[in-house]
Amino acid sequence: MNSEINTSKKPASILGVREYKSLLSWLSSVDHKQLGIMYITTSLMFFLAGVSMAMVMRTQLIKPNHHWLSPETYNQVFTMHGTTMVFLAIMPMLTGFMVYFTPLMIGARDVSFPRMNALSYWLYLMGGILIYFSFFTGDTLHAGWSAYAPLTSVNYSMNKYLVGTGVDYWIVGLLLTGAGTIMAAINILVTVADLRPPDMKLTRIPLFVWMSSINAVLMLLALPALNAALVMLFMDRHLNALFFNPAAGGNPLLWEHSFWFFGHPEVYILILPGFGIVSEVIPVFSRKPIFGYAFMAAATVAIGFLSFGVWAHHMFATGMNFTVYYVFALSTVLIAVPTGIKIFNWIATMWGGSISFDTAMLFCIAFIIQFTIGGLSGVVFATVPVDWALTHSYFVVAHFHYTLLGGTLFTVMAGFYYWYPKITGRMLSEKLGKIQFWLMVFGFNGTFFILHFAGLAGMPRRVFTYPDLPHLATINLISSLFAYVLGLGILIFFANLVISLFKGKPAEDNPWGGWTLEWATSSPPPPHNFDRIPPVRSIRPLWDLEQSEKQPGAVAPPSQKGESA
Amino acid sequence: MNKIRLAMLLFVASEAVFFILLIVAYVVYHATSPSAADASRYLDVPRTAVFTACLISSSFTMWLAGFHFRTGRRRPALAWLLATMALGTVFLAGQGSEYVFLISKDVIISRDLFGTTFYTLTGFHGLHVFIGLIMLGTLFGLELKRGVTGPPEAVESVSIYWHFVDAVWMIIFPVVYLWVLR
Amino acid sequence: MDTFTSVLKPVTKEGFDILSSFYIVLGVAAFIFVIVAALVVYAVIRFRRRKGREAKQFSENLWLEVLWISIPLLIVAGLFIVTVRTMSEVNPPVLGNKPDLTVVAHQWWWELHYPQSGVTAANEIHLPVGKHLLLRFESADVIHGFWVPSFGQKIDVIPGHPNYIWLTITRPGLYLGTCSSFCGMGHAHMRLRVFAQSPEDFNAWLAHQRQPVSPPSAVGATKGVGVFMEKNCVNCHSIAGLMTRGRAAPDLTHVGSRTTLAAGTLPNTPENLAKWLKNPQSVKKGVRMPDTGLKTDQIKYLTAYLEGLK
Repeated sequence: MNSEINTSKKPASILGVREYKSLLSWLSSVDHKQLGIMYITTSLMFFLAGVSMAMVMRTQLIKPNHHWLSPETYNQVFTMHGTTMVFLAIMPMLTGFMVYFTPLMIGARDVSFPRMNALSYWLYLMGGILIYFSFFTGDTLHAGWSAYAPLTSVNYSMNKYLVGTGVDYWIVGLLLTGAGTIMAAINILVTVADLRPPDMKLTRIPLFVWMSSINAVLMLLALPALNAALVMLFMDRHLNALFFNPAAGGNPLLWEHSFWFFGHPEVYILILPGFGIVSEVIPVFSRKPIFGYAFMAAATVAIGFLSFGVWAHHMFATGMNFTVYYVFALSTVLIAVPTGIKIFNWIATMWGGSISFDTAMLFCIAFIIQFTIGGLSGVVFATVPVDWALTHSYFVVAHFHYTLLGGTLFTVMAGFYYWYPKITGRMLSEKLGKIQFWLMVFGFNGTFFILHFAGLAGMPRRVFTYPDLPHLATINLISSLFAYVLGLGILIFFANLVISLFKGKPAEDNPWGGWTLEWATSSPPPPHNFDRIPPVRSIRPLWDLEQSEKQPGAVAPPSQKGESA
Repeated sequence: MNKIRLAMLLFVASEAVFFILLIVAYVVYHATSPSAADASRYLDVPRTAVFTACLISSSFTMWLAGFHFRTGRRRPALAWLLATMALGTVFLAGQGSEYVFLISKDVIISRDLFGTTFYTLTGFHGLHVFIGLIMLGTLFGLELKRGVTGPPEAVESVSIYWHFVDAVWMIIFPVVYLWVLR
Repeated sequence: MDTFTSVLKPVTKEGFDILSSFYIVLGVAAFIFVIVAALVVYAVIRFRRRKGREAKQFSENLWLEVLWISIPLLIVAGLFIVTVRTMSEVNPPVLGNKPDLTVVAHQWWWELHYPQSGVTAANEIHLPVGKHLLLRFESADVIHGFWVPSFGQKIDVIPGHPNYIWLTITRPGLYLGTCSSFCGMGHAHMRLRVFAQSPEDFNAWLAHQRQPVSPPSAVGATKGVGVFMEKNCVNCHSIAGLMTRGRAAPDLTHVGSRTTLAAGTLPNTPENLAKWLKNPQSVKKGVRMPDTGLKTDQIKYLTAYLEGLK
């Protein structure tokens, strides 16, 4: 439909693009599309590692008083599972999508700072490798991804039963990846500010670009807080600083405040691009525009602001004074409101539409329901006295897996099924996709819904085993069995990714009938992205073009050379 | 709106958050820790005020350098740039000599919370000044050698960074040095 | 004796208050969930792609937006009010009140002091029912957490930052709990057992605990005293009536009367105690007690002595 716009010769798939054939072209790339693919591929490798760790954890927890893994090993596994998933798998996967699609969706040729883009990726890879290197020293961090001081701030490297040098690899690795993230954030923001075509006002950019931009602001302002916390921790460990040393007047709560000041915006960093993906997919597969575009954008800005004002809700059980708790309880319940706005707007987008159940859309539908559950269990925690009962238990584990797995991961899957054709020039198998989808829905909900009850039954988190108390054995057995189902679904996803690259049906420019600018070029796009871009009169340039083709003369012809100064 | 300037402003915003956390740590511990009274004995506020004045002037000379770069007057631009670097170096030297003095009095990181937070906060500030000097030196060298510092925004961006580093000191100086006078 | 471990079956007044709040917020959550799920299910069925039906291109409605902003705002305001009310009911200010029990958390055991009677114990807590008790928490090393689910709230135990909770236990029983903040290798084996008793039984227990032990009479046990002193156990473990020196490890004065060993890790039997003495690391990896290299007969005597400390 739109192939007249793009006059470059279309390669059969990404494997056939001449500029991407050599390894050197990848290692030295400053092309945002190659870098986006590198981000996504690397994060998929770390994701696989994180999933394997999860399977190991659920196997260890399959029955009470199980001594298959030692506490040391289990503690390292759960720590690295969290660290991997947050820092090395999900955040970079989302960054990869942002880096790949933001320029395309605004009709640009690349990001504003292509070399800095490359540096961000390599810092991520190096940091990740450094963190994983700690496995070779036999002394990986084993204090949880939140690494509370003073457990981690005293350098007990001589006593391997306490916390050893693994912390240091973790600290330095995260400082590296954090630097990369801040640079990526700067890049995204400057790109969106600077490289839009003149007619693409901010009220006409796709919601994915809105969410990516706000996300970039969060990354910009939250990661430095982590860096400050890591620096203080490193100094306590190696320069005998006293930040978290209670005997000298230091306060372990300073770590908690610093870490969570970063940590809470971090979890919004982990979901906002996903919100963006869903805001693109649902309209296309419902064949109508997103409902309430302005409110969606405004709600996201509100979430961005509020996300910096809720951090102490992770500390309700630390014995601080009630005034502090009132403030944070209020901000926490408030942040539920803009999130709720989004849920209703997505449903309203489907309403009156013509919904087709391609895999990408299936993942969005499941996401809406699962993320609602996750958000609501979050509201449970905002009720402070209930938090006193349920924090640090499996109820929390259930809550954040509903938002991060049932939420973010499902949006990522939607993103893959929607955009894989654009990136690679091949369609993913819908058949495998649907099998994967149902395995994941059953597997995920089966694993985690029941863990709410484990928390209510008194099971704390971060334990390598648990006593044979009422219900715990049954709950954990069911959870572990469903975890294997979830794992199988994820394996099928990987199989689909690989097989489709070689055997997938070749993809047209716009296989889904999308309306944003990435669909106005070939699949995959040529290295320079666009020969021309259509005029941008609304949030759906290709819809407008289609309408004008039905009524010629109603809209001006495509502009020459899509780049702006 | 210019991309290099925007990028530098965003970077500066991010560094501001980093410093805010270190400042908060200093303030919290200074307000609640018994070693706070100790600090006043060793900090030489008047001496540091002199070095502070150097840093403030360096912002002014940086502004002048930027002005001359913009209007294409190469020699005054280079001269003011050099002056900025000199004042920045004097500031660092002053900081360094203060560290030497404090260490000789056994005020070190591990001594107490004053030591911990003082060195962390002023140390990272000093590091940022040092990086600023490298950036200024780069501009100077490029202009000297090839007569071109790159796009005009480059000088403007380095200038923003330099003013930021100065602004952070404008907070650190009262919080650390003036507070102990009470 | 009834044992309870669940948040859903509280045995304290505070736990009941918390459970009520939980049911309120759960009810609200369930209500919202049902609405969302019903809308989604309806939409995917009613608006699935069918021949001859085009999607309607509407995309905004100010009143709907106002509706689904204002109603959630009201709901969350209500939840906030519930929060504030319950917080002050469950945890009123400490003011000048003296604690009835001070718990000092260590890696990976619980040191107990009853300030009013001067009793020192370890790991197994006894408390009277029917009284508004104040518990104080300190940590000797890292952050721990005190959580007995059927009591309702938990509290983090933070070094340098003592914390307090109030408890009014309503019925006697054995209540199980655990450390709730990851504190290192032994975290999963840092368990709590709280025996809630009638005030008379509790006072009797306290009185018994206050008494130091007398020297043993049985032969094996007497030799056990010798082993205890020779092997310098007393550098970490105190026994009132024998020697009180060490505080780095659980007080063993009445260890024979405890139901479990190693903070709830093992039932307290002579066989288990012997197993522990032989190789503590194999029971609870990471524990600070070193391998003391005790020989079999030394273990036998020591076990006889310690089990006799009732």
